[in-house]
Amino acid sequence: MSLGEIVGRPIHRTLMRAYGVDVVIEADDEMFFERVINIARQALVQRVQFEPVRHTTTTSKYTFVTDEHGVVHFDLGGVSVGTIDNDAAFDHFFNGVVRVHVASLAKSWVFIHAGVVERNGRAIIIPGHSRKGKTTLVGELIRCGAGYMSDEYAVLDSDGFVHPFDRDLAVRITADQQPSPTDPASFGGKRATKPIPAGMVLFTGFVENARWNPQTVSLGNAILDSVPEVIPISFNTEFVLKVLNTTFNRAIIVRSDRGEARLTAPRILEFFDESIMSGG
Amino acid sequence: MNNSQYPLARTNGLVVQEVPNEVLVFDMETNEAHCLNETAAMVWKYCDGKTSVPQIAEILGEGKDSVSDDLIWLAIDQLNEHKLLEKEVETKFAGQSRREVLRKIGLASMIALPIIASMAAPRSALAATSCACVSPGACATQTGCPSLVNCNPSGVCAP
Repeated sequence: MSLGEIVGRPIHRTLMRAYGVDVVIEADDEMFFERVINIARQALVQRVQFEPVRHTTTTSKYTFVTDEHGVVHFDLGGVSVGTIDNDAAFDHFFNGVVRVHVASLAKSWVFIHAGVVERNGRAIIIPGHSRKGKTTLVGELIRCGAGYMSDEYAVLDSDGFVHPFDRDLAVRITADQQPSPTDPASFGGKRATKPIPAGMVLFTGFVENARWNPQTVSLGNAILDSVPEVIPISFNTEFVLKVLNTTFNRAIIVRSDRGEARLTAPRILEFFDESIMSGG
Repeated sequence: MNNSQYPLARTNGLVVQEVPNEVLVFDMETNEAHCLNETAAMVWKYCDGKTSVPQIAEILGEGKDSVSDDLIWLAIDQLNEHKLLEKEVETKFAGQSRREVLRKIGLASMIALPIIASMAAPRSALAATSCACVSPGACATQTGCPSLVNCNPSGVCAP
């Protein structure tokens, strides 16, 4: 079913603009339309604008059509994604689709899956996929006094500055639970608001009983190890490599296994402060 | 001209970024990134189809102790493996395994052994989300997706 096939129903349509990416969102149900716009707004941490659709060359389109049984069908750029039969699951899913879709197409930005905190005007970037404990570590770093920037993406501009992507932290109580949004203030921290240069890139993962033992990583290997975490790498490769080079070149780059986040976070900040003071 | 003696670096389909003491190469065909250390990068740089392996060894050894042809072949072997040469060339380890050559050169060489590290990039952005799938089984463990049992034709855990 396409919107063209629907007769006699008004179509609600808007142009979503975020990070240089345009996407048309259209739906035949007004309430559903408002709902997806709200999800998109949350997904992109309010760094998004909605405008009337006038002249656009974009081919990116999210279409939501309600059939005669009241079931909503979701198309992404003309490809059927599926039907929506579970509201909560859809909200979570669509939130992810919007984030990844925009990150994939953002031409002048680089999105790295990473936790990011601010310390003395510099960003500490912790690259890593979901479910690798980066939110837990970010939460503990905030508890120790770091400013919150993101638990999802390090967003880099073309000059290699790190921008906040400060959605609420997606904290999981247990591994098989949906993450629940948690205000960084509940960790006693505040949100960083300005773009800042990178101060440290930290590759780390939880290993039971591991000791914090940071080892220097070369710039080339750090960029290489970030490749699986960079969303648009095969789309805008030259730009991405250049931005990673500029960003990481300003930073201390280290790797270490870590034990409990609560115990490791103070060590990380201590190490960072000492390295910065000694000009590292 | 014997190709195996005059290796030629591949240029098509590669994005190259130089960083201090290393070179990053992204292969658009295989969707893999490679990091060449200084020695591997130098060898690759001189793979111009006009410079022979002994000549590359001579260039790299300039001002230092001599660099053996084996070290250059070690680099060529890895460049072959990662498809960074125009045509695959037959390495000349004279019947020795790479490990034997490594051991031999490692003890004698004054310059770092050539190393190429690699990393595959996700094929699609959706691979980075938690709802990407190739089979229904992949959906069973992904909470928060529209379907836990169906991997639809778009590769998404959804009806």
